[in-house]
Amino acid sequence: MDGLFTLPFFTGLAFAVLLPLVGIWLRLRDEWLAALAVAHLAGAGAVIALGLSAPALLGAAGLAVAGMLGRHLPASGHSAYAWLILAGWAVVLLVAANSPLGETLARQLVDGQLYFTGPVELAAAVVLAIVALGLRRRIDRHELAMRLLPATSGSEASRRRHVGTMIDVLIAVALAAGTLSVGLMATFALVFLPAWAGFHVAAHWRQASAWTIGLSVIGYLLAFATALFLDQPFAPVLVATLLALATATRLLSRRAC
Amino acid sequence: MRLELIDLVTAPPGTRSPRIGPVSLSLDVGETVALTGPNGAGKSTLLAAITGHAPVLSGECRIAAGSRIRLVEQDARPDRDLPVNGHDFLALAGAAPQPPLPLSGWLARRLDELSGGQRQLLRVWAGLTGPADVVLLDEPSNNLDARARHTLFRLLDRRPAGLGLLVVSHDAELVSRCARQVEMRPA
Repeated sequence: MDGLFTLPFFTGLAFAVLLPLVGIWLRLRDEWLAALAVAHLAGAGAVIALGLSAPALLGAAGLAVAGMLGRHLPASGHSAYAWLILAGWAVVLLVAANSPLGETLARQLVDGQLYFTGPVELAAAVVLAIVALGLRRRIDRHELAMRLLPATSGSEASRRRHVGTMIDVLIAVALAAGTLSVGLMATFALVFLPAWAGFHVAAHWRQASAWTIGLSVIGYLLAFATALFLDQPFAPVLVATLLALATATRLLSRRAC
Repeated sequence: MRLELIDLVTAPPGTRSPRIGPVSLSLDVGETVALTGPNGAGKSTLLAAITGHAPVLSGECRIAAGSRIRLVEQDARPDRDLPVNGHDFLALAGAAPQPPLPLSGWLARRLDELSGGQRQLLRVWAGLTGPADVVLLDEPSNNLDARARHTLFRLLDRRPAGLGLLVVSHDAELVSRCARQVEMRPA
């Protein structure tokens, strides 16, 4: 592989491990659509930050965290995520229309700009992936308990809320960093598709994690090679590859869809 | 005394009306108490108040220091497309990993591949053998056929010594198996 693509390759690989973990947690909460909403807000935050001459990652992470923590203010459930998707989309395009640099960034956010990522994006992706992998068992346990075991005291419910807020922040920052590096739809695809297939085919929890991360990494490697070999834009190739892999995995599983 | 409610008045979670109660009851170590009453009397809401999910508007809910409470809900959230099998669930709940037959035969299957009754019995087992001193069972025999009800009674009879049970039920046979009964009436 050309040295020019080494940094982007490892940046993308780190996101291919990090974002499906986020997908597992959001799917356990039945909040996977939140990923698309928060990614839109991250895009809006990046464009606003650029307009204010501030670092794009800071703006993206700031608005993503705000959106994640306040996601239930405008409405509840999927209505809230639809509201946030529309708000993020409107802000991105409005700011972009009124700023020449913003227009370039807005387009890059949608298309993905993995080949133009550098050491900052790589460092962010690796640090976030290490943190997520290190906390994975605890977060899995927390999210499974939230799903399957009701809290049995006010103090336990309060502790769960606090832990949930910390997980929200990690999820939001991961989505913001992913959106700035691999693009909005590629980030959503890495969050949604591997977990969608992994949850369906696995016989138990550990297998579900292995399937989800495995599908994501295989899809990423295939897409990276295909995009380079065929000289195609990376993000749509990644989304198409993950769509094909995840759908085939579900269709070929012994469980009915 | 593990649990004592003194003239407790509560309301559905997040609200202050309709007011439910006042209710007074006590649950001693190893005792079983049935909480009965018509639909809408507020039995499930009372359990929510005991577990801190519903407000205590007046009266008292006393839980003995160090006592751990576990709630086995009536309608658990649907487990569709959730890759968790029986082993995973019992480990998560901190329950005894080897339940008796027929439950032991279901452990390798995902929860979403089990029937509602099978999931209910696994949840009851997890509640009875998990880290708890008092278990609140909300309609545990709902949707169980005769054989599954028999299994439920067997699990309850063999529960760990000292475990207190507060059972919400309309099931006359289940209620009759409890040492005492407390009836709630609609406000």
